[in-house]
Amino acid sequence: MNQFKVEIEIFSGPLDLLLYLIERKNLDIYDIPIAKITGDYIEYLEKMNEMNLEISSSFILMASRLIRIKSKLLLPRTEEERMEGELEKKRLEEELIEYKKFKKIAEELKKRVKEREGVFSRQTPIIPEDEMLVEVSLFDLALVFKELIKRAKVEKSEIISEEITIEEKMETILNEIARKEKLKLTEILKQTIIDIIVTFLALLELIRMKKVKCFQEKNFGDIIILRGENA
Amino acid sequence: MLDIEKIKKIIELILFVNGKPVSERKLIELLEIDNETFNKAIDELRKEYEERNSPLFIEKIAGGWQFSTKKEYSEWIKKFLKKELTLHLSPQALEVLAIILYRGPITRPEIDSIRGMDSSGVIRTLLEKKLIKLAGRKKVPGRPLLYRVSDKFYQYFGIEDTSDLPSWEEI
Repeated sequence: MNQFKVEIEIFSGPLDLLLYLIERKNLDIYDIPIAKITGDYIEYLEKMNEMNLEISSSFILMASRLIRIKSKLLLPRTEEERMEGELEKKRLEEELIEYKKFKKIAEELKKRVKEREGVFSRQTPIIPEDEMLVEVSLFDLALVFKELIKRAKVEKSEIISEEITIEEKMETILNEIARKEKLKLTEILKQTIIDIIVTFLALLELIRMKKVKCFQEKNFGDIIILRGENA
Repeated sequence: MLDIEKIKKIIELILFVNGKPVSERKLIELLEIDNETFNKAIDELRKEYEERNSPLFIEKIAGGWQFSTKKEYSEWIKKFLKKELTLHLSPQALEVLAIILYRGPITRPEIDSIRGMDSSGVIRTLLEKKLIKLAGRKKVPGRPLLYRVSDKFYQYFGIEDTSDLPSWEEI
């Protein structure tokens, strides 16, 4: 029982489990006996279930895929269906062969780490590394602003004492960006809803005019504003 | 032209100030020397470190040259940094790294389909550990993010460059 549990925990996915079942019985990966492997696979899932182990949906998905191939191959209603089954079986075999290769590479990587244990290299560059920036789509921009508005301080009786126009905001952004190379959105934002909205519209206009470009270091990260082609 | 002794000193300096591997091309351009002279200089420099039994050695990683420490002193470095420096990578993480290494730049859905399961958690961990990095977006609907391995990956695994690894056909 314990032995079994240990085995289960090492499977990183349905393909890994399939590979194990194939190799355990020395089956031919280039021509998998589908009926046999489907049986073994489902038996395994049942045992996992008995032991109250959580079975991720990808394992179930593979089970249904195996059953579908099996039924198409063993009980085809038409010749066409049998051909489909053959094709799907072939695809699964190809996926398994590819996956097996990646598993081998993963093992090679593990070996490399072992060999290199205890060797250290310089980590922090004195000269800062270029940050990898991803250009932001309109959708990303809208997402960030939506998040900002949600977090903005809402004063029930908001009295707008100073009106900021979009033009003024554009000026501010352009001035800031002329001064420094790179501007973070959070640096120029005040916490009021009106300011967030005006900034959003100003940014859209500046992007359209190609005066600025917007980037992100990661999804949902701060927006980084850089000079555009027409700045 | 600089004499070989001077060239060696300058290479040593550059490798010292730069925290990550310095490419051969960069060094050759900087010093305005030819490949042959560079190879001679770097060979001699490495030999000198070896002969004086230095705790440092110069090695080629991620297609560039850098200083690394010898294994036998690792306990002192660990003691100084007061932490275990070995990253613990799960079999899943290694699998995803292998895929990104050989197929990168690659998107998450593509990785998922090779593995037959969701990889978002693993990818997040690898990004946090800085073993992979973003490589822009793929020009397909939805513009999914692309991932590739980082220089830190090459450093951590001690891989010179991709030719240092078995080719896809060999595996």
